[in-house]
Amino acid sequence: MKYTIAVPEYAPPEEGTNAPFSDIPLRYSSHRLFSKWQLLALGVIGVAIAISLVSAFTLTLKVGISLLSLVYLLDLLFGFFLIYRALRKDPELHISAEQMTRLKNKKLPLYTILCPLFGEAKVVPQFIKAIQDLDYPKEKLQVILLLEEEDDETIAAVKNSSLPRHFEVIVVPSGQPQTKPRACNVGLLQARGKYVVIYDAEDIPDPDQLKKAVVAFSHLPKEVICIQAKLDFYNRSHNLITRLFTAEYALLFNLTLLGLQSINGPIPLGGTSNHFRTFALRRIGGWDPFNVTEDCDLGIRLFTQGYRTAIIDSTTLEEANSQLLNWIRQRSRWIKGYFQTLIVHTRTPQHFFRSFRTIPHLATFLLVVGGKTIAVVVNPFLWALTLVYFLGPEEFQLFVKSLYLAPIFYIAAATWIAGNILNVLYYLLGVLQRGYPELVKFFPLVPLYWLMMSVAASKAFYQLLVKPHFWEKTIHGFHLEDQTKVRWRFLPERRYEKEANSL
Amino acid sequence: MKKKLIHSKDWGVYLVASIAVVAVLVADGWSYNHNLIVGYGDSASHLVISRRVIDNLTPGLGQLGSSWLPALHVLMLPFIWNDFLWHTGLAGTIVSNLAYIGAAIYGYRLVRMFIDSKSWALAVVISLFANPNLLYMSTTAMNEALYVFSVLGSTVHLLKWSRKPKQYLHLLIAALLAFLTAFNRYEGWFLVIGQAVVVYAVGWKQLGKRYGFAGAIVFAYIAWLAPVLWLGWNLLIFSDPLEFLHNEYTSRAQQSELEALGQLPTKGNILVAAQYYYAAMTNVLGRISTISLLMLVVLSPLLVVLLRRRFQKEDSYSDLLIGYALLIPGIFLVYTLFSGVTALHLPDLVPFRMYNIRYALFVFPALVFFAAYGIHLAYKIWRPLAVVCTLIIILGMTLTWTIPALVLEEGKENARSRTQSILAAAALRSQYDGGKILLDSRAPLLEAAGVGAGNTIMWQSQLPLKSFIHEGTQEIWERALANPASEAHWMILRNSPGVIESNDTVAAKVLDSEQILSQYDLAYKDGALEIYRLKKSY
Repeated sequence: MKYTIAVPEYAPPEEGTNAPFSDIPLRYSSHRLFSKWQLLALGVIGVAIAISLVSAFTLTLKVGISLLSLVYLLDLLFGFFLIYRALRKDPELHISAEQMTRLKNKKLPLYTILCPLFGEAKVVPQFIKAIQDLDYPKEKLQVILLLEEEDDETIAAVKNSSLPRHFEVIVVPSGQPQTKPRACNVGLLQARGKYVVIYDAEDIPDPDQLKKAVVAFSHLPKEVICIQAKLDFYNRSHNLITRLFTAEYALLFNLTLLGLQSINGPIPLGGTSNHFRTFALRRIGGWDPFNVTEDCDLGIRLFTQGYRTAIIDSTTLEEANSQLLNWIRQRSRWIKGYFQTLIVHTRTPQHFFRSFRTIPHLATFLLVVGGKTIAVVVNPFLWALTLVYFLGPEEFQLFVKSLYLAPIFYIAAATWIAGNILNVLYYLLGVLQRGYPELVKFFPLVPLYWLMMSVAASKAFYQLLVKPHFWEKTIHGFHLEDQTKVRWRFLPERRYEKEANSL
Repeated sequence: MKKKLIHSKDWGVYLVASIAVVAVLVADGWSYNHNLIVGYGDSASHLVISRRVIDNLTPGLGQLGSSWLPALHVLMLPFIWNDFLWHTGLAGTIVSNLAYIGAAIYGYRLVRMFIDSKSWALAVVISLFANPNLLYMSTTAMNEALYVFSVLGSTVHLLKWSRKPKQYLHLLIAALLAFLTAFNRYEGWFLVIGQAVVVYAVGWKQLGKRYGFAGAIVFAYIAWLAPVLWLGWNLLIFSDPLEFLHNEYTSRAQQSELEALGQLPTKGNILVAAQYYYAAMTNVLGRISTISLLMLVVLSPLLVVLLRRRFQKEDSYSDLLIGYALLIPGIFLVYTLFSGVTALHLPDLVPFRMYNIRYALFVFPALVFFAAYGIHLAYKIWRPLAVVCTLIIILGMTLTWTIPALVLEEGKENARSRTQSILAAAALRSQYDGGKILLDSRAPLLEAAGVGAGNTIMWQSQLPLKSFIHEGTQEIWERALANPASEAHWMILRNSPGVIESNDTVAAKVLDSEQILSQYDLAYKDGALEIYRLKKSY
């Protein structure tokens, strides 16, 4: 099999941009996190809180707790609203079999598939097979494998593979930041397709996904420049972590994002299976190489520039992270990226208000990207406070009670009870919507999963301050190792073998 | 799109809602003019409990708790702060009115699931919801209307879910309404357990065992939360999760007093218990309707089996299971009558008085379901038979207007028996010159009324509830019981020997103490009811 290795020339950032291989304007880049305005605002707020604490300690805490309680209440109501909308409206784009059969292969546009690979030698064969299985004319496909210059192992694995003719290989030159979005931007420079999609190395998309995306793009208004396929896992029964991870994805892609779509709100994209109109993606500057959750940032950025995302009824199967430390690494990167996105899109007040156009959209962004991320950091402290409140000395109970105005106390208590109950319920509904009733029995463990998130969030918060652009690499391929091992499990595993063998 | 919109809206819903609004407002007007908005003593207690959350020496949600489940009290909170709505009892009327209207809409939606014709369904629903007993309960601060609403609602959504079992919104709404049921009545606890089992069975039948289990988990997770939260709340407030079973004002405690008086004929005899409940049903729902309901309960499964070919794609077994769950509260009540936990008295049965006749309304949702289902079955057999069935149901419900509405009569009797409390409240109000009033709000202070008479006096006095020291005022109550003069300028208690004396905590503390009594003057006495005033020297 013939293939080429191309190293594009390194393009130094132009005036006003600061992203290698990208035209992304500085104001959208996470290269420098906080703007002067943000630092000033944070400084003023910090000093005000400090003075207030010194001069009126209890009152300051009362006001702070009241505000926090109201934010949690708002988040609770908004979350319920989104889930209700998703269940009621079914906003997902359904492409019928009839629409698919009407497609003529000759008229299909050229489609570019980007696949960034770093340390993914093990899953290369699996990826090649998955792409080969796509129901799309091969002559209309441009598959670009994006390798990193220093990643000898993957380069060797690709060299040793028999790549089909429509595959291209680009070795991305060494440089900083060494991130997935940087590689994607290199791929975007070389993309010739009308549409472009990004798949991770371990992905197995539905074979008809590209065709569905073509149909969807042709029926959707021009401002919809991104179609997000739903993500799911092929190794969901691997262990407890993968089961809970599957439940979380089921909730995210089958309810939360659909709820956001139903209100035409900003949608933080999932890391893979994002299909774009290529010209529009170039127009908005591609990915931010400095943002470690570039998908979330891109989803928000395209929204702020007047574009929209739609969710399609097609699924890409991925490998769920099955190792706790690996999971924490991956999650801490995601959360760090959410923080980056929050900071980038709130840099200046006038830009912030102008970009989101309406108050509901602005609030949606703050709650979905900001609120939920900050909540993951704050929640353990509040849980600890609640525990101490119930189990601690009476004096402490009285002190805590004294910090709440009576109505706020009830709001906080009701939000605490309803919030925890409903958030577990959403997981249940998510897995049912996804069609995994066997996962329902694990619902009592969801709070443990939240605890894992909080651990990752603490790490993310720390890294945001000390190494904001560091890319915590997720290791893939554990599911392949597992196929050759005799595994000891205490959970029923009937499904796993079937799934693994079908790969 | 426009065509679809028009098609998807059922004008019958608007018509039913409009008729329900008019009917319940007329009923309100009638009740108000006859001073029956707060007829039952229990309705006064419900109002007081709700008001105590905001108007109390120790306000807060901690006032909710003990014997009654709190749904009605919580739902009254947006209205009870208003003095007019509180003093007139209209705060409860608003909640019950809304519940009635919602119940009528759900009733119509339920009937429409079995009867295609809108006008036909309308006729059935109007005749069912024109029941005078239900209408009266919908004008007052009682929880029956709310119960009918939530049960009919959860049934409608369960039926919708059973038809499209992957549409989980209906299962979710059914579970939320079931939560409301279980947060409103203890009978609801058994109903929602039954409904969860039904969800399991229906889900299993429709989609397989795993889906059945998953559906039941989702339903139970929400619906069973009500009992769990209630147990937790009681643990938090009273340090006893089963306080509502253990305190001296429970149904069980009251019934033991009735037993001592020989007024618990249903205890120990399941047939007599069933007979009493049947008699209550015939009085409240009508004899023809009750017999029709029981016949349909027995015959429906047989007919479904015999006619299974005519049902084609319909899943009648799932429908029937959902319908049968509605009988659980009735069965539970018969069992409680048998075990002596509940009492039910009817004027034509021993002991020839009225008590708890409204409990027959707990099978009202079953009547709505089986009426619709019966007509549906008859339609499958022979269309004219469906017309006959409909006429029987309409006739049966119309005849309830020709017999005394015993639920209303019991309310009237309760109101009449309150002369003593009206006089006592008036005396207190006229003499009141400040200071706190100590009383056990749940105590049977009056000759005629049962427990909770203290609540009635508190409501009728129209004094701010902040003036009262009662068992819900925490440390102040403890301090006042230890040394009344230090906290209370007034004491209201029942001074009579007998089985119920022990239920008045204030009387039990005070009457044996010469020292305490010497600090107070007797300001008012009517029978055993006494009001004391602190001597000026103290």
